[in-house]
Amino acid sequence: MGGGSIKARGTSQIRLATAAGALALAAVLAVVSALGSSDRAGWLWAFGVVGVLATLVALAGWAGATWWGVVALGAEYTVLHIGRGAVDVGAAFVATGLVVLAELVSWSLDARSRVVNEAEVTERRVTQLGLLALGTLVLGSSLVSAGTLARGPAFARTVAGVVCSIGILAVVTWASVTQRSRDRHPGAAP
Amino acid sequence: MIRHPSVKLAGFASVAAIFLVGALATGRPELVVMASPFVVILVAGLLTAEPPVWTTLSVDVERDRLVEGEAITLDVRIAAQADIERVEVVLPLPSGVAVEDGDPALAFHLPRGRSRTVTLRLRFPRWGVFELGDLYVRAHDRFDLFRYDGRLDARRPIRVFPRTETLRALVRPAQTQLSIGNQVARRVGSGIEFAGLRPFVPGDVVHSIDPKTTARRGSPWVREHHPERNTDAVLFLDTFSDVRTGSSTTVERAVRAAASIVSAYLERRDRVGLVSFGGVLRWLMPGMGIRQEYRIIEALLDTEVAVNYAWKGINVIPIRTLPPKALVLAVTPLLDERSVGALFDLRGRAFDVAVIDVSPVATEPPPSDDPVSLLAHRIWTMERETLHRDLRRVGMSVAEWRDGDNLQRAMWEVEASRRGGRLRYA
Repeated sequence: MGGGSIKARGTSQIRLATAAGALALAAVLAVVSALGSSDRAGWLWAFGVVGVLATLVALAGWAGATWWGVVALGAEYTVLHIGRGAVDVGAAFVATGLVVLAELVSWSLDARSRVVNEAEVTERRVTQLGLLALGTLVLGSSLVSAGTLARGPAFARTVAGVVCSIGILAVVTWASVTQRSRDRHPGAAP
Repeated sequence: MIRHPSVKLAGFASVAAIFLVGALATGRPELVVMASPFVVILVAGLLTAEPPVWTTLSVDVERDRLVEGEAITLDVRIAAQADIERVEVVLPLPSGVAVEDGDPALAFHLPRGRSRTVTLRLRFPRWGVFELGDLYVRAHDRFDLFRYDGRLDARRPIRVFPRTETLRALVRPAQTQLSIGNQVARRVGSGIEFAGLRPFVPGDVVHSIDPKTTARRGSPWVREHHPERNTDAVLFLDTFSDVRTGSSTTVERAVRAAASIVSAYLERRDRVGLVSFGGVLRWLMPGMGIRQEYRIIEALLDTEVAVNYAWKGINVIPIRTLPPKALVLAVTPLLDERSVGALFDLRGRAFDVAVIDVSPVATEPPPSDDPVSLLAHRIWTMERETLHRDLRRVGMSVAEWRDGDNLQRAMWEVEASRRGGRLRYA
């Protein structure tokens, strides 16, 4: 009854499913890396716990913690591999896991909204998530292969520098586009 | 449309930057691998992001005038030039509106050039004026890096008229007015209703002679008639207090009763006025016809309880609102001293006052295991009975109208007590 009451059709199930998936994924990423080495176990478990806790906090409603979780889990994997030779394909899987983790947390937070999603929206989002995971895996594997072929940290640094430059350019482009959009439509209604 | 960067945009940029800076600092390519998807998504999202252009965006309401309890259909039509991954359409509804079918907050995919209609079925269980809010539209891009918020002015008042009850009999005023109407006057004059017979006196019209009586008596006798006249009725609506008694509140019931009574009196070509006596005083001069009916019902729709502690008497009511010989029909829960005092004052000024007590006494008695509540309930009902007796003692007729009762029964009760009262006070 009333304007405030909106039938929640399956929204809570989606929210719970995505949250559970994100938490499980974070736990898997944390545990797999932590079990990879015994001499750095303290550091690895510390990063892993921070990653899982940050994911939990993010799922509780503070979206900003998502990125701390992603960074902590990525750092855990990096700490595991520091001083251990060349990069392996595991990095591509971890990258995929981190992207999927971020998307799942974001989806779970979106599902808290009182807006009811049609089934088609959910299906498209699942498909997109799958494609995103696949694309990330392919991209990561390609980069790992390229790094292996180059056989040295110099190539990795070069790649990092180029990507950094692209990233900076992208941010600058985005800022200018945003400004232009605001100048063109200052609070205009549709 | 206003573009807002989503939380993901800042998050992805931060993660990518941290990983890349970390890669440069530690010389580990794993971090580059981990940063790469975030960077790719960012770049792709920034390159493909563009604000949606709506080709259609409208809200259509089936009708904006209805009777309480009825339902209407509301259509939101939307179409865009480009494919939009996710569109959220939110229509805030006023409280008291029940959604029978559809979702007032819905997210869907909008393909390019295809129109989409979101249909809502809304039911209005209570009378009043309901204003729809603005329509909020939010579009998400493919990578969900930007959100575009728009708003459409969909504000439109929907007037829900109270459900009226068919009344077969009304309270007859003690005195009629001079204009012709449907009410049989008590005095004698030219009319249809037979009043009596009397001997012929010089000046009587010849065609009024009753041939049968004249033949029987042997001298001319004439027939007398009651003329049909109209009356003035002023509805005195007490809006000082509102109490819920089951499915509805006393004000809701009072307005329904008022609408029924107004319609019935106006159908009889009587003049009807309105005094809404409460925290805010409102009135309508007596008038007749369909326009007056709509005027009164529109005024009733705005009825609400406004909290006011100032003492108010009938001196605040404009004098022309209460014409002489008018019947003042009070519809009141008899809860506020100010309205009760006003009724006594009106009677003291020789107005013909009848009271329909919109009973605030709940149909369900208090729980029997709570003796204090039971005692309080008994004392309260006794106080109300005493008040009824006091009102009757000064010449007002009172009938209690409980939740779920027929209004006609209350009207008959008032009319019956008025007949008895007139005989007593004659």
